[in-house]
Amino acid sequence: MLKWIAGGAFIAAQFVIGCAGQSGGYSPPSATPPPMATNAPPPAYSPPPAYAPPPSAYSPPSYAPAPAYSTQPYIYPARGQSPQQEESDKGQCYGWAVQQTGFDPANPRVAMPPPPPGYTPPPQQSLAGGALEGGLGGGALGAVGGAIGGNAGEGAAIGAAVGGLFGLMRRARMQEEEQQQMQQQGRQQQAYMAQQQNALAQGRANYNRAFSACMTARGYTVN
Amino acid sequence: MSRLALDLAVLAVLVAVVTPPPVSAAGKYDGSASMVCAVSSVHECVATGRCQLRTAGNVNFPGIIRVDIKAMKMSDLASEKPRESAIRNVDHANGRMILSGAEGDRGWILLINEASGAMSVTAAGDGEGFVMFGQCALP
Repeated sequence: MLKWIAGGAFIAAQFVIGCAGQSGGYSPPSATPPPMATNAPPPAYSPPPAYAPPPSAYSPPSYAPAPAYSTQPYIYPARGQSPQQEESDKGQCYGWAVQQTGFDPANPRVAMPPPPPGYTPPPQQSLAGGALEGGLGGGALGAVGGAIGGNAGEGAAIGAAVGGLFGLMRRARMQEEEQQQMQQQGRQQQAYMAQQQNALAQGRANYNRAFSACMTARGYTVN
Repeated sequence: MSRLALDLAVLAVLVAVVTPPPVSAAGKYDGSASMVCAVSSVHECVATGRCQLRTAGNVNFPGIIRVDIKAMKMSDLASEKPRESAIRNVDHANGRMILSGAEGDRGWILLINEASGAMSVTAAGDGEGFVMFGQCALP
């Protein structure tokens, strides 16, 4: 009988201890922080920043930020150059590369042939202006047709109010040709723009090569 | 022109096209009364020698016109916008009535068979020409 009582008391004690040990509910395992990196960058290391000209070595007129598609070379001072020295070298290499390639990333322009003959920037014409021109054109056309057709008095009266039958005929072929011409002009403009983009990309690539060569020669690792 | 009158004109043209003209009706399309003429086909030609079949609407010509010899003018019946052309000359030869005129930078000739009402039209401009065929009716 005592065994039974002692056994029950032991079980009850275990239950109470168990609940107290769990602090009343679920406790997630404690996360252990990852080991800290111990390899600190060298003191002279400077991460590759967006290119900015140094103030002393050169003074480009207005440095525009490079477009998003440009590929900036990554530069590492392999000989432990100071950031000031690196900026100075960048500036001098910038000037040298521009001189060598003729391409200035701050003012990206390339020599291009003249645009195609039909190239015109999209007009910014107001609706009121177009309607006015159309109305004037139609009235003039009707007046001309009426003046030519028939006798003078009647023709003038007709011309003031109506358009002609034959004078207003319009070749369907001409309309098709105009559409084809517009499509051809559109293709030419697209080709011209693509050619311009290619020339810019080529100029930028040449500049990057020259800049990289200059920086490499000054003891930097450029990629 | 009211809608009813236009419908009647179209109906008259259709009847004239479908019904063969009787022999006794020879000369009734001589211009003594105004006629309504429908264009059935248009051929557009260019100086290089190529012609293509069009419709009247393709070349901005009315599908139905009224020919009024007494008033010496032709007018558009199908469009709400008035379009008229003055007839400069009227000639009759071998049972055909030949009308001609000039408008803008084009000259034109319209021939109507006085017996059948069959119509042939040519309009010529610089390096281009239109040949149209159709049928006239007496409304």
